[in-house]
Amino acid sequence: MLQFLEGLKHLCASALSCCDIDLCKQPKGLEDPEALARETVFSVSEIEALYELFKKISSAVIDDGLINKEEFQLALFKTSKKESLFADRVFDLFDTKHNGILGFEEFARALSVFHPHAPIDDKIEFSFQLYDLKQQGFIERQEVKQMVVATLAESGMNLSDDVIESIIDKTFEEADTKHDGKIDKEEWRSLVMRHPSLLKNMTLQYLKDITTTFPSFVFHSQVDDT
Amino acid sequence: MYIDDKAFSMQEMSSDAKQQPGSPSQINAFELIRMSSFLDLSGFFEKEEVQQRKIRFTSNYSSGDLLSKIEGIVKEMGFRVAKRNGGKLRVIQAHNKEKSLGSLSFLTEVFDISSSLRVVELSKSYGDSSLYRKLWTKLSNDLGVSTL
Repeated sequence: MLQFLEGLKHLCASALSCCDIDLCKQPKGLEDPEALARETVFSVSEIEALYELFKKISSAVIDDGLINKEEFQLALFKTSKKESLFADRVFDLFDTKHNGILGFEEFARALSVFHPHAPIDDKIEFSFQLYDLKQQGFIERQEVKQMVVATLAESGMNLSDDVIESIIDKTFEEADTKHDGKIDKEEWRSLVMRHPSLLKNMTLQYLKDITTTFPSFVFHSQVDDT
Repeated sequence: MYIDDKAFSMQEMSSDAKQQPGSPSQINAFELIRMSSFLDLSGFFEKEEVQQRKIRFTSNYSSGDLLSKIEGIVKEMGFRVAKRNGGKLRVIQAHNKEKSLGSLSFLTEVFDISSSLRVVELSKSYGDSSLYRKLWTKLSNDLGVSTL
Protein backbone atom coordinates (compact mmCIF):
# COMPACT_ATOMS: atom_id res chain seq x y z
CA MET A 1 0.00 0.00 0.00
CA LEU A 2 2.78 2.33 0.98
CA GLN A 3 4.66 1.69 -2.25
CA PHE A 4 1.54 2.43 -4.23
CA LEU A 5 1.17 5.76 -2.52
CA GLU A 6 4.83 6.56 -3.07
CA GLY A 7 4.46 5.73 -6.73
CA LEU A 8 1.40 7.89 -6.99
CA LYS A 9 3.24 10.73 -5.31
CA HIS A 10 6.07 10.53 -7.82
CA LEU A 11 3.60 10.45 -10.66
CA CYS A 12 1.83 13.51 -9.32
CA ALA A 13 5.08 15.29 -8.69
CA SER A 14 6.38 14.79 -12.18
CA ALA A 15 3.03 15.56 -13.80
CA LEU A 16 2.67 18.78 -11.94
CA SER A 17 6.24 19.92 -11.71
CA CYS A 18 5.98 21.96 -14.88
CA CYS A 19 2.92 23.75 -13.52
CA ASP A 20 4.68 24.36 -10.20
CA ILE A 21 1.67 23.29 -8.21
CA ASP A 22 2.49 21.44 -5.06
CA LEU A 23 -0.82 19.61 -4.73
CA CYS A 24 0.73 16.35 -3.72
CA LYS A 25 2.45 17.67 -0.60
CA GLN A 26 0.75 15.89 2.29
CA PRO A 27 -0.23 18.13 5.19
CA LYS A 28 2.30 17.23 7.80
CA GLY A 29 0.66 15.25 10.57
CA LEU A 30 -2.82 14.52 9.31
CA GLU A 31 -1.95 11.51 7.26
CA ASP A 32 -4.26 8.95 8.75
CA PRO A 33 -7.13 10.42 10.77
CA GLU A 34 -8.96 7.10 10.72
CA ALA A 35 -6.10 5.33 12.46
CA LEU A 36 -5.84 8.02 15.11
CA ALA A 37 -9.61 7.91 15.59
CA ARG A 38 -9.39 4.17 16.18
CA GLU A 39 -6.66 4.58 18.75
CA THR A 40 -8.17 7.46 20.68
CA VAL A 41 -11.67 8.35 21.90
CA PHE A 42 -12.02 10.90 19.14
CA SER A 43 -14.16 10.43 16.07
CA VAL A 44 -12.64 11.16 12.65
CA SER A 45 -14.27 14.58 12.49
CA GLU A 46 -13.04 15.34 15.98
CA ILE A 47 -9.52 14.40 14.89
CA GLU A 48 -9.84 16.76 11.95
CA ALA A 49 -11.09 19.53 14.22
CA LEU A 50 -8.27 18.85 16.65
CA TYR A 51 -5.86 19.18 13.75
CA GLU A 52 -7.15 22.70 13.14
CA LEU A 53 -6.35 23.53 16.76
CA PHE A 54 -2.95 21.90 16.38
CA LYS A 55 -2.16 23.95 13.28
CA LYS A 56 -3.05 27.12 15.12
CA ILE A 57 -0.84 26.32 18.08
CA SER A 58 2.07 24.91 16.12
CA SER A 59 2.40 27.93 13.86
CA ALA A 60 2.54 30.51 16.64
CA VAL A 61 6.32 30.83 16.83
CA ILE A 62 7.80 28.58 14.15
CA ASP A 63 5.55 27.45 11.36
CA ASP A 64 6.83 23.90 11.07
CA GLY A 65 3.82 21.77 11.86
CA LEU A 66 5.19 20.92 15.29
CA ILE A 67 4.57 22.30 18.76
CA ASN A 68 7.67 23.24 20.66
CA LYS A 69 7.67 24.03 24.37
CA GLU A 70 7.36 27.76 23.80
CA GLU A 71 4.31 27.36 21.56
CA PHE A 72 2.81 24.95 24.10
CA GLN A 73 3.15 27.49 26.89
CA LEU A 74 1.91 30.33 24.71
CA ALA A 75 -1.21 28.40 23.84
CA LEU A 76 -1.96 27.45 27.42
CA PHE A 77 -0.84 30.45 29.40
CA LYS A 78 -0.85 33.18 26.75
CA THR A 79 2.76 33.84 27.65
CA SER A 80 5.91 31.82 27.18
CA LYS A 81 7.51 33.48 30.14
CA LYS A 82 6.01 31.41 32.92
CA GLU A 83 8.22 28.75 34.39
CA SER A 84 6.63 25.99 36.35
CA LEU A 85 7.50 22.48 37.32
CA PHE A 86 3.97 21.55 36.34
CA ALA A 87 4.19 23.05 32.86
CA ASP A 88 7.34 21.02 32.23
CA ARG A 89 5.74 17.87 33.54
CA VAL A 90 2.67 18.27 31.33
CA PHE A 91 4.77 18.87 28.23
CA ASP A 92 6.90 15.85 29.01
CA LEU A 93 3.83 13.65 29.28
CA PHE A 94 2.60 14.84 25.90
CA ASP A 95 6.08 14.32 24.43
CA THR A 96 6.03 10.53 24.34
CA LYS A 97 8.87 10.46 21.78
CA HIS A 98 11.01 12.54 24.14
CA ASN A 99 12.42 14.76 21.45
CA GLY A 100 11.31 18.11 22.84
CA ILE A 101 8.60 18.72 20.26
CA LEU A 102 5.04 17.54 19.75
CA GLY A 103 3.76 16.10 16.52
CA PHE A 104 0.04 15.90 15.91
CA GLU A 105 -0.14 12.27 16.93
CA GLU A 106 1.37 12.97 20.35
CA PHE A 107 -0.94 15.96 20.75
CA ALA A 108 -4.06 13.98 19.87
CA ARG A 109 -3.17 10.95 21.98
CA ALA A 110 -2.52 13.07 25.05
CA LEU A 111 -5.66 15.16 24.65
CA SER A 112 -7.68 12.01 24.20
CA VAL A 113 -7.11 11.32 27.89
CA PHE A 114 -8.85 14.60 28.72
CA HIS A 115 -11.97 13.83 26.74
CA PRO A 116 -15.07 13.50 28.95
CA HIS A 117 -15.56 10.00 27.52
CA ALA A 118 -12.00 8.82 28.04
CA PRO A 119 -11.68 5.80 30.35
CA ILE A 120 -11.06 6.84 33.93
CA ASP A 121 -8.09 4.50 34.03
CA ASP A 122 -6.34 6.68 31.46
CA LYS A 123 -7.00 9.74 33.59
CA ILE A 124 -5.74 7.96 36.69
CA GLU A 125 -2.59 6.87 34.85
CA PHE A 126 -1.88 10.31 33.40
CA SER A 127 -2.42 12.14 36.67
CA PHE A 128 -0.25 9.68 38.55
CA GLN A 129 2.60 10.20 36.12
CA LEU A 130 2.05 13.92 36.31
CA TYR A 131 2.52 14.00 40.06
CA ASP A 132 5.31 11.45 40.09
CA LEU A 133 7.80 14.26 39.52
CA LYS A 134 10.92 12.13 39.67
CA GLN A 135 9.29 9.31 37.76
CA GLN A 136 10.11 6.71 40.35
CA GLY A 137 6.80 4.89 40.14
CA PHE A 138 5.53 6.42 43.37
CA ILE A 139 4.69 9.84 44.74
CA GLU A 140 6.84 10.83 47.67
CA ARG A 141 5.85 13.11 50.51
CA GLN A 142 8.54 15.55 49.48
CA GLU A 143 7.10 15.75 45.95
CA VAL A 144 3.63 16.42 47.34
CA LYS A 145 5.01 19.22 49.46
CA GLN A 146 6.85 20.67 46.48
CA MET A 147 3.66 20.68 44.44
CA VAL A 148 1.53 22.18 47.21
CA VAL A 149 4.05 24.96 47.76
CA ALA A 150 4.21 25.66 44.02
CA THR A 151 0.42 25.86 43.73
CA LEU A 152 0.12 28.18 46.72
CA ALA A 153 2.86 30.44 45.38
CA GLU A 154 0.95 30.86 42.12
CA SER A 155 -1.95 32.69 43.68
CA GLY A 156 0.00 34.32 46.47
CA MET A 157 -1.74 32.26 49.13
CA ASN A 158 0.35 32.24 52.26
CA LEU A 159 0.14 29.25 54.49
CA SER A 160 2.49 28.50 57.34
CA ASP A 161 4.71 25.47 57.10
CA ASP A 162 2.77 23.92 59.99
CA VAL A 163 -0.48 24.17 58.13
CA ILE A 164 1.05 22.77 54.96
CA GLU A 165 2.54 19.86 56.90
CA SER A 166 -0.78 19.10 58.53
CA ILE A 167 -2.57 19.07 55.17
CA ILE A 168 0.00 16.63 53.84
CA ASP A 169 -0.19 14.55 57.02
CA LYS A 170 -3.92 14.14 56.61
CA THR A 171 -3.53 13.35 52.92
CA PHE A 172 -0.99 10.62 53.58
CA GLU A 173 -3.03 9.27 56.46
CA GLU A 174 -5.81 8.65 54.03
CA ALA A 175 -3.88 7.77 50.90
CA ASP A 176 -0.86 5.83 52.16
CA THR A 177 -2.64 2.65 53.16
CA LYS A 178 0.58 0.64 53.03
CA HIS A 179 2.24 3.10 55.42
CA ASP A 180 5.51 3.30 53.54
CA GLY A 181 5.67 7.07 53.20
CA LYS A 182 4.82 7.04 49.52
CA ILE A 183 1.77 6.79 47.32
CA ASP A 184 1.97 4.12 44.69
CA LYS A 185 -0.31 3.71 41.71
CA GLU A 186 -2.72 1.42 43.53
CA GLU A 187 -3.06 3.81 46.44
CA TRP A 188 -3.50 6.70 44.02
CA ARG A 189 -6.24 4.87 42.23
CA SER A 190 -8.13 4.13 45.49
CA LEU A 191 -7.76 7.72 46.61
CA VAL A 192 -9.11 9.05 43.37
CA MET A 193 -12.00 6.60 43.27
CA ARG A 194 -13.04 7.89 46.65
CA HIS A 195 -12.53 11.52 45.64
CA PRO A 196 -13.29 11.88 41.92
CA SER A 197 -13.00 15.66 42.20
CA LEU A 198 -9.24 15.16 42.39
CA LEU A 199 -9.38 14.38 38.67
CA LYS A 200 -11.32 17.51 37.81
CA ASN A 201 -8.39 18.93 35.87
CA MET A 202 -8.14 15.72 33.84
CA THR A 203 -11.29 16.46 31.85
CA LEU A 204 -11.80 19.17 29.28
CA GLN A 205 -15.49 19.56 28.46
CA TYR A 206 -14.44 21.67 25.49
CA LEU A 207 -13.35 18.52 23.69
CA LYS A 208 -16.96 17.45 23.27
CA ASP A 209 -17.71 20.54 21.17
CA ILE A 210 -14.48 20.63 19.28
CA THR A 211 -16.02 20.08 15.86
CA THR A 212 -18.06 23.26 16.24
CA THR A 213 -15.22 25.27 17.77
CA PHE A 214 -12.72 24.24 15.11
CA PRO A 215 -14.60 23.41 11.96
CA SER A 216 -12.42 21.79 9.37
CA PHE A 217 -13.15 21.84 5.70
CA VAL A 218 -11.61 18.61 4.67
CA PHE A 219 -13.62 17.11 1.86
CA HIS A 220 -12.36 13.58 1.98
CA SER A 221 -14.51 12.88 5.04
CA GLN A 222 -16.71 10.24 3.53
CA VAL A 223 -15.88 8.03 6.46
CA ASP A 224 -18.74 7.05 8.67
CA ASP A 225 -18.40 8.61 12.06
CA THR A 226 -20.43 6.03 13.91
CA MET B 1 -29.66 28.93 30.02
CA TYR B 2 -26.95 26.37 30.02
CA ILE B 3 -25.83 25.00 33.37
CA ASP B 4 -22.82 22.79 33.32
CA ASP B 5 -24.35 20.06 35.40
CA LYS B 6 -22.13 17.29 34.17
CA ALA B 7 -18.99 18.95 35.45
CA PHE B 8 -20.87 19.49 38.65
CA SER B 9 -21.98 15.97 39.30
CA MET B 10 -18.41 14.70 39.49
CA GLN B 11 -17.78 17.06 42.37
CA GLU B 12 -20.88 16.07 44.23
CA MET B 13 -19.72 12.49 44.37
CA SER B 14 -16.71 13.58 46.36
CA SER B 15 -18.64 14.45 49.51
CA ASP B 16 -17.26 12.34 52.31
CA ALA B 17 -19.66 10.18 54.24
CA LYS B 18 -17.86 11.31 57.39
CA GLN B 19 -18.36 15.02 57.03
CA GLN B 20 -21.20 16.89 58.65
CA PRO B 21 -24.04 17.88 56.37
CA GLY B 22 -23.38 21.26 54.83
CA SER B 23 -19.74 21.48 55.80
CA PRO B 24 -17.18 21.57 53.03
CA SER B 25 -14.68 18.79 52.40
CA GLN B 26 -11.47 18.87 54.39
CA ILE B 27 -8.96 19.66 51.76
CA ASN B 28 -6.69 16.98 50.45
CA ALA B 29 -3.22 18.08 49.29
CA PHE B 30 -4.06 16.87 45.80
CA GLU B 31 -7.22 18.98 45.77
CA LEU B 32 -5.01 22.01 46.34
CA ILE B 33 -2.53 20.84 43.73
CA ARG B 34 -5.14 20.30 41.03
CA MET B 35 -6.17 23.93 41.45
CA SER B 36 -2.90 24.96 39.87
CA SER B 37 -3.32 27.03 36.71
CA PHE B 38 -0.45 25.11 35.20
CA LEU B 39 -2.41 21.88 35.35
CA ASP B 40 -5.37 23.44 33.62
CA LEU B 41 -5.37 22.77 29.90
CA SER B 42 -8.46 24.85 29.23
CA GLY B 43 -6.08 27.51 27.93
CA PHE B 44 -6.06 25.68 24.60
CA PHE B 45 -9.71 26.64 24.18
CA GLU B 46 -9.93 29.98 25.91
CA LYS B 47 -8.59 33.35 24.87
CA GLU B 48 -8.31 34.58 28.43
CA GLU B 49 -5.56 33.65 30.83
CA VAL B 50 -6.53 31.13 33.49
CA GLN B 51 -6.10 33.80 36.14
CA GLN B 52 -8.97 35.74 34.56
CA ARG B 53 -11.23 32.73 34.86
CA LYS B 54 -10.13 31.05 38.07
CA ILE B 55 -9.61 32.87 41.31
CA ARG B 56 -8.40 31.38 44.58
CA PHE B 57 -8.06 33.04 47.92
CA THR B 58 -7.95 32.21 51.59
CA SER B 59 -10.25 33.51 54.26
CA ASN B 60 -10.75 33.16 57.98
CA TYR B 61 -14.50 33.28 57.69
CA SER B 62 -16.35 30.05 58.23
CA SER B 63 -17.54 28.33 55.10
CA GLY B 64 -21.15 29.02 56.01
CA ASP B 65 -20.40 32.73 56.37
CA LEU B 66 -18.40 32.79 53.16
CA LEU B 67 -21.12 31.16 51.14
CA SER B 68 -23.85 33.41 52.50
CA LYS B 69 -21.77 36.51 51.94
CA ILE B 70 -21.02 35.48 48.38
CA GLU B 71 -24.64 34.62 47.83
CA GLY B 72 -25.72 37.99 49.22
CA ILE B 73 -23.37 39.93 47.01
CA VAL B 74 -24.23 38.14 43.79
CA LYS B 75 -27.95 38.36 44.43
CA GLU B 76 -27.55 42.09 44.95
CA MET B 77 -25.92 42.23 41.53
CA GLY B 78 -28.88 40.47 40.00
CA PHE B 79 -27.64 36.90 39.76
CA ARG B 80 -29.35 33.68 40.63
CA VAL B 81 -27.83 31.12 42.90
CA ALA B 82 -28.22 27.36 42.83
CA LYS B 83 -26.97 25.91 46.08
CA ARG B 84 -25.39 22.53 46.33
CA ASN B 85 -24.02 20.39 49.11
CA GLY B 86 -20.57 20.32 50.50
CA GLY B 87 -19.58 23.94 50.25
CA LYS B 88 -20.41 24.60 46.62
CA LEU B 89 -22.41 27.34 45.03
CA ARG B 90 -23.34 27.79 41.41
CA VAL B 91 -23.98 31.35 40.34
CA ILE B 92 -25.82 32.10 37.15
CA GLN B 93 -27.15 35.13 35.43
CA ALA B 94 -30.62 36.13 36.49
CA HIS B 95 -33.38 36.10 33.95
CA ASN B 96 -32.95 39.77 33.48
CA LYS B 97 -35.26 42.59 32.79
CA GLU B 98 -32.22 44.84 32.88
CA LYS B 99 -30.52 44.25 29.57
CA SER B 100 -27.35 45.82 30.92
CA LEU B 101 -26.53 42.70 32.92
CA GLY B 102 -24.17 40.51 30.96
CA SER B 103 -24.22 36.78 31.12
CA LEU B 104 -22.05 34.98 33.61
CA SER B 105 -21.91 31.61 35.23
CA PHE B 106 -19.41 30.50 37.80
CA LEU B 107 -18.89 27.97 40.48
CA THR B 108 -17.78 28.68 44.02
CA GLU B 109 -16.17 26.03 46.15
CA VAL B 110 -15.02 26.38 49.72
CA PHE B 111 -12.58 24.00 51.37
CA ASP B 112 -11.26 23.78 54.90
CA ILE B 113 -7.54 24.21 55.22
CA SER B 114 -7.56 24.18 58.99
CA SER B 115 -10.10 24.93 61.68
CA SER B 116 -9.58 28.64 61.16
CA LEU B 117 -8.78 28.88 57.47
CA ARG B 118 -10.69 28.32 54.29
CA VAL B 119 -9.65 28.34 50.66
CA VAL B 120 -12.20 29.51 48.14
CA GLU B 121 -12.04 28.73 44.45
CA LEU B 122 -14.15 30.66 41.95
CA SER B 123 -14.26 29.09 38.48
CA LYS B 124 -15.95 30.89 35.64
CA SER B 125 -17.74 28.52 33.27
CA TYR B 126 -18.61 31.21 30.76
CA GLY B 127 -19.47 34.85 30.49
CA ASP B 128 -18.49 38.43 30.63
CA SER B 129 -15.01 38.76 32.12
CA SER B 130 -15.34 42.41 33.08
CA LEU B 131 -18.50 41.52 34.97
CA TYR B 132 -16.64 38.69 36.66
CA ARG B 133 -13.84 41.05 37.66
CA LYS B 134 -16.35 43.59 38.93
CA LEU B 135 -17.97 40.93 41.03
CA TRP B 136 -14.62 39.72 42.29
CA THR B 137 -13.58 43.25 43.29
CA LYS B 138 -16.77 43.70 45.28
CA LEU B 139 -16.36 40.27 46.84
CA SER B 140 -12.75 40.83 47.86
CA ASN B 141 -13.60 44.20 49.40
CA ASP B 142 -16.48 42.78 51.35
CA LEU B 143 -14.51 39.80 52.55
CA GLY B 144 -11.42 41.83 53.28
CA VAL B 145 -9.30 39.73 50.97
CA SER B 146 -6.00 41.13 49.84
CA THR B 147 -5.29 40.15 46.27
CA LEU B 148 -2.02 39.78 44.39
